[in-house]
Amino acid sequence: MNLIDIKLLWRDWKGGQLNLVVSALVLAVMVVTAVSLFADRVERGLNQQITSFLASDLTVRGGIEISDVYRDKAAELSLQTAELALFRSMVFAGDNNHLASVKAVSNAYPLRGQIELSDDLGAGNVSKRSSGPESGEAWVEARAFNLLDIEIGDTIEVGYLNLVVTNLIVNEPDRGTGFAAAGARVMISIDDLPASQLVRPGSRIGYRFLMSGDDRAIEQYKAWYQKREDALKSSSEVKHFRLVTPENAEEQLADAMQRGRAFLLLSGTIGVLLAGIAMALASQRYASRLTDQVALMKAWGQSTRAIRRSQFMRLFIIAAISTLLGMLLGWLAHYMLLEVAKGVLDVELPMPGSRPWIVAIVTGFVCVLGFALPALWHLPTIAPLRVLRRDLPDSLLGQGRRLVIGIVSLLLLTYWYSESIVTSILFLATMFILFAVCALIALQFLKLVQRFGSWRGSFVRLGLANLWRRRGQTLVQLVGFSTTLMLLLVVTGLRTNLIEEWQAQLPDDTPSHFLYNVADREVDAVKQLLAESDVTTTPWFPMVRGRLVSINSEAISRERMAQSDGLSREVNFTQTADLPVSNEIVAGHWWATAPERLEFSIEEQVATEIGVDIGDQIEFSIGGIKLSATLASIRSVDWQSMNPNFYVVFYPGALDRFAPNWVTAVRAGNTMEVNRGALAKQAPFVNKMVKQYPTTVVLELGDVIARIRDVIDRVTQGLELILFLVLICGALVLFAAIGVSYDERLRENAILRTLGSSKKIILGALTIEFATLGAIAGLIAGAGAELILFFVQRNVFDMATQWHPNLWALGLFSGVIFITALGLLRSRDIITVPPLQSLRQVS
Amino acid sequence: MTQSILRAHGVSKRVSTADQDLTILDNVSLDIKLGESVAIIGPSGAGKSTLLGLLAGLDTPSDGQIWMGDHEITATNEEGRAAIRAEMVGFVFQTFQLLGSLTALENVSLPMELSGQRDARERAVEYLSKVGLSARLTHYPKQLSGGEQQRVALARAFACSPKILFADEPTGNLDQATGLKISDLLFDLNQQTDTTLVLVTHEPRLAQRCQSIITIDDGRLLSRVDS
Repeated sequence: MNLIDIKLLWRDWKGGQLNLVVSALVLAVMVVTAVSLFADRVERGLNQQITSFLASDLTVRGGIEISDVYRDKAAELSLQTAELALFRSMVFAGDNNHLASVKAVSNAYPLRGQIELSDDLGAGNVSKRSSGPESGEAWVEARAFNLLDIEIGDTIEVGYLNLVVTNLIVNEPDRGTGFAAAGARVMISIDDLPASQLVRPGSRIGYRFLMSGDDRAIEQYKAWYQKREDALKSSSEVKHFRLVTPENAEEQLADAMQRGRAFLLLSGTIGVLLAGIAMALASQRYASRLTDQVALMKAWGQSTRAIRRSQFMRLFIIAAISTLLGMLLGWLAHYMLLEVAKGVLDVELPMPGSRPWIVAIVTGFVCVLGFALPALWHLPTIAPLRVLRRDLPDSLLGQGRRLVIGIVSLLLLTYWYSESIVTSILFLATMFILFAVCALIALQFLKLVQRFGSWRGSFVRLGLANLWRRRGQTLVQLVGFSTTLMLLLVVTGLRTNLIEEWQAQLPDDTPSHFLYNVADREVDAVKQLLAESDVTTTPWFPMVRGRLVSINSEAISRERMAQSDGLSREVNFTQTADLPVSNEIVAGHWWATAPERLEFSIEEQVATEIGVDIGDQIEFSIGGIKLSATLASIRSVDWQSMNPNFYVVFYPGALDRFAPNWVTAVRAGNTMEVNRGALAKQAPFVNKMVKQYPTTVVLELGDVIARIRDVIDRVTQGLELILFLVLICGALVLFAAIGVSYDERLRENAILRTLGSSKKIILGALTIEFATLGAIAGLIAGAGAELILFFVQRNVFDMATQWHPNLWALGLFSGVIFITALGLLRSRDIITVPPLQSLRQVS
Repeated sequence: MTQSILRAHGVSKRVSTADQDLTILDNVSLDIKLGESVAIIGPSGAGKSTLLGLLAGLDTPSDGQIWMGDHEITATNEEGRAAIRAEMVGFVFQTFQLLGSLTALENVSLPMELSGQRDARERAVEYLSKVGLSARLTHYPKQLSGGEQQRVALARAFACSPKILFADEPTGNLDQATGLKISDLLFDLNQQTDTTLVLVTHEPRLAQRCQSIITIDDGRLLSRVDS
């Protein structure tokens, strides 16, 4: 590296020629660093939290004891392990009894997360534990205290065992959100299980084998499991076990996380794209300023190669310093993001991995190569004769080629960020079409404006004429302006959409409790109790458990059974006359009148898994009794709706003879208030319910909802700040775009002022010019944002598409205000610097 | 007999326009001796600047040969010509061609720094003092008058100790009095450094100070008068 390269660079910097190029690059790297660091840490934090919901990093579940082969592999990979067994059993305390949900855990349980316990029935004085109960001990949930009428220190009977109740369970990490968690929890040591004699042949017990360890070992285990599962599918062996990972454990959380990450990455890419546009425009201006310098250097005998080498060296220094600075600022900005989200971040976030740093460095250098270098590429080939003849044309790298280089760079970056070539190509193809369409529409607008300007007053005509006269530059600015605004509108629109959709998932009337296992004969009495307690419910559904036996008289083979979750286990059936809310018919018809033969409806994913179609005759087995029905419809089900949902729905009457239990969801006030297991805070009807109808199970949704809201809050808080960074990128594009025509404006306005134009006229003309530019850009941006949102909503976020009239208005308004303000700010020298000084400055 | 430093033989320059081929220089031959000062004069559009550009190796002729010292610059490529320029040539321009982002001192020292001269800064200070600008070292071009800017350009050109100095209308952008001062300075420095001077000018008084005056019109060399 020559000292002269550094000197030249320093002089360019001092001369203010590099400000915009460096600012844009620093900002691009800063945005990417901040976004990557934030996403990386939050993702690690959320993963950690989800693993705490699982109480492990991985869990093998099964209805029979977990085979040694799974334990051996875990031992081979040096994973930490724990195990537990879940079953329902009657628990006695004196004359009272309750069908409890017993969980027998090994001492190492939980591997992730902690059990929150209290020795106080008011759930005060909470302590956190990372190990299960000792032998002889039992920890129980609040409602069991109520049901069994016991205190801390009392003894309960579980099977043949007498256990001392030592703690109230306030929270357990893997309590789960489904019906499996029904029944008050009684947690005991797995060492006591044999003595209880509860495990006998035919007992319905859920076994879980929990594992935790470093990322690599976990990934190895997952890969090994997948391979084994693939092998099992092709053999006739029945699938007994299922691997639960953070990704598939809590679908809602995983879904929110996936959307959040996609949004963060998209925001990051938009930031880089904007900064890239700013860099390309600023580099173009930098290049025009360097032209004389390079021509002189060549006249003095510098070779093309020496100038090229010097150019690369200077760009390398720019890239290295800007990237370092961007990384440093990104590191600080990510702390700002974390600081803002602190209120809702109640977990210690792990330190980031190396990937965000690598992403930042690659971004910095790719931006320089893709956006700055193409604009400067022609410089070394400038003819030395230019020192004598300034009118010689520059052999600028064609706009087309520069565009291609820019697009390839962006493609590399978006691919690097998203790891999906399809997403990257789709994203960039849309951008490319956008530029072209923007330019075409902008040209039409300019023609319109030109005609309009020909009969207006003096400064209006001057301003509008300026737009048309410099239409080449105006188009560049319009494409820059409108794209910036468009992307900002897309970010705004997406953010609003995401939040709206998330909120829509949790409407005001979201149920607060699930009522489950209500016996047929108790339904009317329970309804009465609920009515007296002043709470409302969703519709009541009868429910029986059963399994599929044959399809079109053909018995379901073991192979076919092994391929589907819906076939390999018992599922819940119901019957109803009306299509349940949050269900939609995707094939066939919902029954309007009584069918001649019994009909049923099935959930679409199960239908695909087991390969059934409308009109197929299916035989079911419910408690050993066969039931045959024709498939009348296939439904899509919104499993996130917090309403009772079913795989199989029969025409009313079909299940009457199977003595179904009933299920409903109750709305009992604020679901956002987390109960944390305290007796005193339970809804009043809960106490009455569990006392009068002890076999009925009440499941509280407050905790579940609170967890989901927590994640949503975290993600949206972060987005606010990222949006702000994207906005700064947008402002840089505006500055750079005005910079393209800056010298020309300076010269022309100096001449106008010399000829006697007042400051007012020049200011008026500039205002008209920028405001018109802003209005056109705003309109194009609104239209473009609408189009992009349509595709992004449909293809990336899998949302329902909708119109955004507010975005059009916002585009127009913000375009005019933003661009006029920034334009006038950037052009203030044009108005304030004396004409002679302006002319000298330009020459 | 004094040695030739610059020779042109049968040099022509044609350019293609949309309608026709235009001949800018037609079969020009000349010989300039070491240390000689030569003025090229002629009406606007006569081809003066084109000839200067060709002689300085900034452009290539359509026909003919040009030698600079022992080098035939028409037989080498741009890289070769650049190396020859670096060794032998200095320039002064009508529009000064100072770099706006550099101070007077930096403008003068830049070409020497580029050629790797170690005492670039000292020589720049020395030559700026010679042109009477020792108090203006840290001033930027826009803070200097036209005459001062051209003095900086002269300091820059002479500080590199070129064998041949090409000057394109060096007083063309200056008023008469300032132009006179600049031409005094140009010839003083030329004498002190024994540099060969080739200048293009419209100013008869400036041309008169040269040892030879070459007149061209319509691309042809009309006369050469040695004083």
